[in-house]
Amino acid sequence: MRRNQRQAALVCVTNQYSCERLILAGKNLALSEGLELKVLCVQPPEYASGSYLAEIEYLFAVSRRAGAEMIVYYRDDPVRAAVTFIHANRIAHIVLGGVPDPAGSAFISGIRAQCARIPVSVVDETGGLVLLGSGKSRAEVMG
Amino acid sequence: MIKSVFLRRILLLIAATILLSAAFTTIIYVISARSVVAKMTASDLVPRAQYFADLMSQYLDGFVPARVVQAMISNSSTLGASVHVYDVQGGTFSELQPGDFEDGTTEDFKQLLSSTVHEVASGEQAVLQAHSLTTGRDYIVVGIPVRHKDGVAGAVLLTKPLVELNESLSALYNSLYFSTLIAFLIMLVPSYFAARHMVRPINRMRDVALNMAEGDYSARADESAKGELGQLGQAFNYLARQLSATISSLVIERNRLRHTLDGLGEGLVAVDAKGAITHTNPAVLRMFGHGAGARFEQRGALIPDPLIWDDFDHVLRERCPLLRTLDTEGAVLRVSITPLEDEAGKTVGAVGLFRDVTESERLEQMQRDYVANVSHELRTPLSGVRGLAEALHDGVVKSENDKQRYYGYILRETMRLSRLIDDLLELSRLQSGTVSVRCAPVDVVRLIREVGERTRNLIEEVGLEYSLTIAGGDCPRAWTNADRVEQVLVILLDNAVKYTPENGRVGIRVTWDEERLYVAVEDEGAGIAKEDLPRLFDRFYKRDKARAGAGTGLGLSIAREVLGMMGETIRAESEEGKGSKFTFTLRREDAPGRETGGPKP
Repeated sequence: MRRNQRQAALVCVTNQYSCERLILAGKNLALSEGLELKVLCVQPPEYASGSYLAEIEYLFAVSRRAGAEMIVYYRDDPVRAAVTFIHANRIAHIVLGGVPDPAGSAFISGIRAQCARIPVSVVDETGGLVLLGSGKSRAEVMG
Repeated sequence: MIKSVFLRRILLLIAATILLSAAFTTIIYVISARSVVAKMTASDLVPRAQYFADLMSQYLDGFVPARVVQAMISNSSTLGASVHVYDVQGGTFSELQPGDFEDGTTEDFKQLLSSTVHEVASGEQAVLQAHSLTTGRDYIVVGIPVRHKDGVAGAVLLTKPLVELNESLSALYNSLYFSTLIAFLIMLVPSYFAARHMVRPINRMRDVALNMAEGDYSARADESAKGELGQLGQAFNYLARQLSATISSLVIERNRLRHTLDGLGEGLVAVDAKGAITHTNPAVLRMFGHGAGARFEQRGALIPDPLIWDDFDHVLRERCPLLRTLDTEGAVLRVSITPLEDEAGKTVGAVGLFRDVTESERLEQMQRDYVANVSHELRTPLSGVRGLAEALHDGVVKSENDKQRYYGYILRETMRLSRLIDDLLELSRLQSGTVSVRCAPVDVVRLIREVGERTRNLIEEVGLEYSLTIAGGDCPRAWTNADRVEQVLVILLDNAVKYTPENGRVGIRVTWDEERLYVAVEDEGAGIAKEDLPRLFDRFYKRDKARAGAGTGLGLSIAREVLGMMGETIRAESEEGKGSKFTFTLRREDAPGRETGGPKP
């Protein structure tokens, strides 16, 4: 972790073009909360040879336009990789892609269990943020 | 002192063999000689003892006087042994005196003789060896019974020390010592040379091995020796040839890899397991502003950003690759870091690949902007057409005059769309490099006059004044393409008319120097802001957004591409409120060094 590093919002993405909306939602969140924006993508090690490269490059471009620093890890354990990154980079808010059952998602559950003090929001179908645990949209939470 | 261990060992082995041979010879001889000498002595004594026993028998019969017997007992030299005569009880005969032992009477010997007497007195012959602890001598004892009147009357014992045995053993010891010493001394010299002869090829192989370790694979061991050493030499030389071939292959492969890495457009940095730099290629040195062949004590001297080295350490620690972006001065780099593992799966380092994506990101942004601009430019007239068509379709427009007016609007907007698409295609063709231009001598002034005549009416209709100014003298001809020059003139005049208010002036001025003609289209329009000038020739750039519907926004881009295709340039000069001037160049037909003839690609 670099010295004097500001707190940041972290957007966790996969290798899909549609993750662009997660980054844009994260950008709005970071702007409103005065945070830096970081984007993390964890892929299986076998993808390091070039799988989904076009999608990853697209997300790099989207991150750059959003003013975010993006990094891709090729690891077997995405939860551990994400948690390590979170603890090393002063992450103050985590943004994830929405799933029908967040409690059933091993990734979301793992993140929330090991980063219990950090708020986690998911992006819904409309592109809005829902704060996990409250059931409310971010707009509602922020009043 | 002999330094060679092998040589010393061989000499010691030879010495040990000689000594061992001598020792075993001595031991075996001692064991075997004793019994042989004893047997010989015993065989010699038995008949003498028998003779004396017979004499005793005759004495007991009275045929031999006692003095004869006594003389033989007293003088051991008569029978060559000491004589002892006993009766059956083990005592002596009353008339006979016992003789003296050589060394006097000893108790153990007495004990030995009494036991033998009883054995002989029972009628058995006895032959035995005895050792005197007192004198240290070995003796042969032969006992013969004295037979008298069908019975045993006594025993005759002859004893003789085994002097010959001791003497022979002594002689053997002396001869063995002497012969061993002689043999050792005689064998010393040939053994030394023989051992040296054996060690020499081994030393040569050692020297060859050391030379190979230093990188000299041409050295060869001696294969001429017979037996195992020659085979060892052959095997060694085979190893040297194979090693030399393998090393050569590795060197070739290393050089090939080095040339491949040096030729990469991407930057490459390799680190060891501790994160210290082991390899760089010229591309990464260029990327970070270093000279060719630069070396770095600290890795931060190569790349100042500590974030990248944190990533290298992360990869070394976690043994998993990563991909990220690194912003440097004037460039955007995509960095891919991958761990290196050995055959056992242990991480031995990492390799970072740096790819400059600045241009690709710029092009991608341009592409996005282009699509956005084209979409906007297409959407605007289409929206207008749609609105008008919907109004007509819905019957909102009632009067025939209004309908005609609407039809006019639709026609105008569709023509605008058509012009836009034509311009897009033209620009695309120009930029693709597939358009060829054939140049020829062109009377530029006449061309300008013709264009001016065609556009004069249009210019004067909008209340503008048109002028053509030719610098003094006859204007030289240009080496160019007349159609393309006309295309550029039309574009520039069109823009000038568009942006010049009523009662303003639009003019063309032609000047020249020794190499080029300079054609300037001037207007007295609102001028262009200084910050807009750099982007004036970009596609769809319109300095006056209010006149966004008046053109396609591609004219100046097309003009620049057309002129660039002919090797010419165009520049804009303007000041807000003071009009604008667009000047393009045309190569003179008579310019020095001009290539003549043939189309230009």
